[in-house]
Formats: sequence, C-alpha cells, structure tokens
Amino acid sequence: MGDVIVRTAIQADEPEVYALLLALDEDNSLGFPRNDQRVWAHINACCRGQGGVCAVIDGPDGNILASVGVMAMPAGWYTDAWLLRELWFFVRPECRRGTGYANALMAWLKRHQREMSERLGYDIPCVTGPTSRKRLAAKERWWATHGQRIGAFFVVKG
Amino acid sequence: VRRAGEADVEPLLAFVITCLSESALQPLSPAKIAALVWRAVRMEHAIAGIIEGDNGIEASVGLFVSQLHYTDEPHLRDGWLGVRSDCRRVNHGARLVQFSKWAQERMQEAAGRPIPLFLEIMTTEALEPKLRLYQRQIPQVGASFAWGTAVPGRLDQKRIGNGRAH
Repeated sequence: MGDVIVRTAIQADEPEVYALLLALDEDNSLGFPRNDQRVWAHINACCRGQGGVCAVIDGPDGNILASVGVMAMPAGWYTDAWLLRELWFFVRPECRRGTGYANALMAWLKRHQREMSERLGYDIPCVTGPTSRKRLAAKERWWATHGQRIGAFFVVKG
Repeated sequence: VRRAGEADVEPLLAFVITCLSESALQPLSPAKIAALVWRAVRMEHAIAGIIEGDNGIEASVGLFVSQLHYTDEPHLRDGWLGVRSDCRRVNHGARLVQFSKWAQERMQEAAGRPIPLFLEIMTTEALEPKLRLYQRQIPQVGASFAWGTAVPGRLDQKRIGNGRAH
C-alpha cells in the first residue's frame, strides 16, 4: 500500500463528488428520499469553501474513490455555539480493504479541525460518526479509535 | 406521561434547563430553549410530555419536527429527554420513549404519511446507561464521536469570531 493522497476538492470536482454521494446513498441510505437541490447546495458549499470543505481521494480514471465533507454549523437547537459537523464520510465499498483510505480521510479531518481551531483562536469541536443500518458495531469500533464517543441516534421508521 | 400545555411553561422551562445543563455538550442559550418549550406547549410542530410527582416535574421529553440536510421529508426528533436525578430508578425514561413513539404515530396519522422518529443521545455524562435504555426500545442507526474538546466531557468554546476560549 503506497502513500494515500488526500486533497481538498475544488469546484471542478463537484460532479464526481455527487457521483460518490449517489454511491453512498445506494450503499447505505436511511430511506429518506433524496432532494438533489439540497445535496448540490451542500456539495457546492463544501467544494467552493462556502462554509464547508471537502477532501477527496482520486481514482485512476478521474473518479473519486473516497471523500469526507464537513461544514461549520450551529452545534444544536439549544446553543449559540458552533462546531464542525461531518456531512459525509464515505469510501466506496470496493476500496475498503487494505487501502488505508478511511484512515487517510480521518487524518485529513483531524488536521482540518486543528487548522481551523488555530485560525479561530479556540478549539472548535468536530463531530463525526457512522450512520448505517449495516455493520454499525464494526464502524463504531473503528470510529472509537479516533475520537471520544459522545452519543448515538435511533430511528423509528414511519 | 401527559402532554404539556401552556400552564406548564414555567416549571417545564426550569426542568429543561436543568436537564440540558447536566448533559449538554455546548453552552446553553436560554432564549433558544424558551422558544422550543413554547413551541412544544403550543403544539407548533412540536410537543412535550411530562411525568409529574409530588415535587413537580420528574421527567420530560420534548419533540419537534425537523429535516435532515439532504431531504425535504420531515421527521420528529427529540430536543430533550430527561429524568430528574432523584427519579432515575422508576422507569420514567422508558415511558418517555413510549410517549415519543405515541406522538410519532399521532403525527403521521394527522399528516397522512410516514414521519420517522429520531432520538439522539449526545452527552458524555452517564452515556452507557442512556445507550442501553434506548437500545432496548429503538433500533440504533448511528453513533457520534468528537474531538477538539477543550475540557474532557465538555465542548467548551465561545462563539465563532468571539476570540480565544477561556
């Protein structure tokens, strides 16, 4: 396994980021109908540095094999504080074994949080985690090696 | 569990602030909390359930309609779900979860379409027992992890642009 190159996405990457998010939706959707206008708004914000940022790992054919998107946003309904919230963290299923892509994305995310904290002058928290109906326990174990566990969420389908 | 009404606002607001101050990861905004409590007691796309005892509110849940960032479909989610510290061995938590399911069913009946219920735990205080309470009753679909906490257990920060955190 060679060095994995993670780069910050730019506007020209938006179509491939969208293609990756379609793969995420297909692989691991909670079942909510996707609104493409909303999805594109978040891709635009992250790939153009408008409140968000996106990192990608390129494939050999110009496609994107893995990506993380993160935005600064209000931390919750009860507070005026802000945090960095991961919007997506996805490695294509066929690229998960032995590639180191997930670790590389996580390292990028931690570096981004540190750099943003330095710019802001305080330690802005970053919240990330798996959302999945498949292999959730294994994903939780992997995430727990990278951050402090602060919660979970639960869904009763309508 | 009974539905909260406008007459419950004052004690409910005090309860919610106490409840969140024990477990919230971020500094509280009293104005935002008051706004959601008022919405809940007025049933403005929100609802609150309370359990009372001889000494006032012992437990409460507040639910409101929200959306995920990638969809227009609404869901019902919790703003708070808490049990007073001296009442934690009497199954109030499970009753509040049941109330939440009841509220979701009524809401989707009224809407005429499916409206999922999201319950989220986000705390570092007694996380494991809270996880077990929820896991016994509702399918878990996600987990949250964080770093960048100035103090372990508290995401201690000021607002963006407000200078250096203390």
